[in-house]
Amino acid sequence: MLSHAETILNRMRGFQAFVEHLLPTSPTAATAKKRLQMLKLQDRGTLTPRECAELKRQIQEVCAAHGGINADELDLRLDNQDGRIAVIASIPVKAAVD
Amino acid sequence: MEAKSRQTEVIVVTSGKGGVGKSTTAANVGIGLAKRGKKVILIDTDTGQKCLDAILDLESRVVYNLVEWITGECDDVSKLLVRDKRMDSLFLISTSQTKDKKDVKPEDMVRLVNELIAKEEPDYIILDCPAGIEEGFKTAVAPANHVILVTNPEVTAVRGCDRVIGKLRAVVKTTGRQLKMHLVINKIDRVQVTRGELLDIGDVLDVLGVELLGVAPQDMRVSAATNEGKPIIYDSGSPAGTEFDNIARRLLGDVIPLPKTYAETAWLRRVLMKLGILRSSAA
Repeated sequence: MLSHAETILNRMRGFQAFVEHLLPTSPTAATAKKRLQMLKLQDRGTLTPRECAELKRQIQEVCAAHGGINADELDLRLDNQDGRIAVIASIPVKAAVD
Repeated sequence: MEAKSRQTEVIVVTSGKGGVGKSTTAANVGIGLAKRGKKVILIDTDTGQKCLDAILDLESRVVYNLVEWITGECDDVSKLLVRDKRMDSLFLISTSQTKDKKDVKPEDMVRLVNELIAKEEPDYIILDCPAGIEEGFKTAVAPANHVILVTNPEVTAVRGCDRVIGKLRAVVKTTGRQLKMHLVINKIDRVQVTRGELLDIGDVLDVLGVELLGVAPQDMRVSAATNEGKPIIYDSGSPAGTEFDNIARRLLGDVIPLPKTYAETAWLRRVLMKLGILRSSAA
């Protein structure tokens, strides 16, 4: 048998939860999801983080030879494209200054 | 290597990471099925770290364990069966606490399951898998035609689960075995999900891509149930117990809707976010 005290306590918990919802929070669940998707790509792929860093360094080296490219801002990441894990590189091109 | 089974559903409950609630799920779902007249055999495959006997309060009734059947000390699979205290059609096969995982090979488990199906004709065999993806996992998965993956809405547990899914897909690909896969999200908390502190149902499904079978809430009564050796499904007021019962019913084909989100007052949160009172979380 659920005692009155327990019922009241449950109601209080419900109220406390309700009040807590109204307060601004810093949601970390979204971060968790993003990190998981990244971890999944790393775990499922055969490219180790070290190999990935090395690949990035080599691409930067090649890009540095081309004046129109901002090699320092080159971004390399793993992505899932239609179920296939791919390396996506974003190589920023320097904007022309008039 | 798959066990020959026409009517018997051979389910393995697995997770990758430990402590997510595999044995609790296996025991309670087994009871839920037995409650509805099904003959169920639970097999604890976690040699060296068994726990189903304690969850069911059957530790003093075990005569032979499965390692003794493999070594020949026990010559009859039927002698391994320990009838449950509360459910007449529920049986436990326990394992050894002193031997280790290497003492049970995948082919042993397939032979055990095949003999059980031939002699005992159960409706369900539920294998409680050890944590990890090593020998113990391979042994528990070997005879199964259905996998129930258990996870918690946390980065580490979901990652472990994804690793297991990868392993299972590889098994299907290389052997051509049929493996149904279902997911149970366990220990989820409504308040934490609403506050954005815990992954929601949709988040976990997006990452894992497996069909959902159940969502069991974080429930403090589960510890008390284990303390007493009386599984949570018998506690009619328990939210987790109710959901384990629902999972059993879904396995039997009952249509019991599953929630898409676990957030409480989601509409209120959305309104507050629209008004700029609450910060929205990045998609």
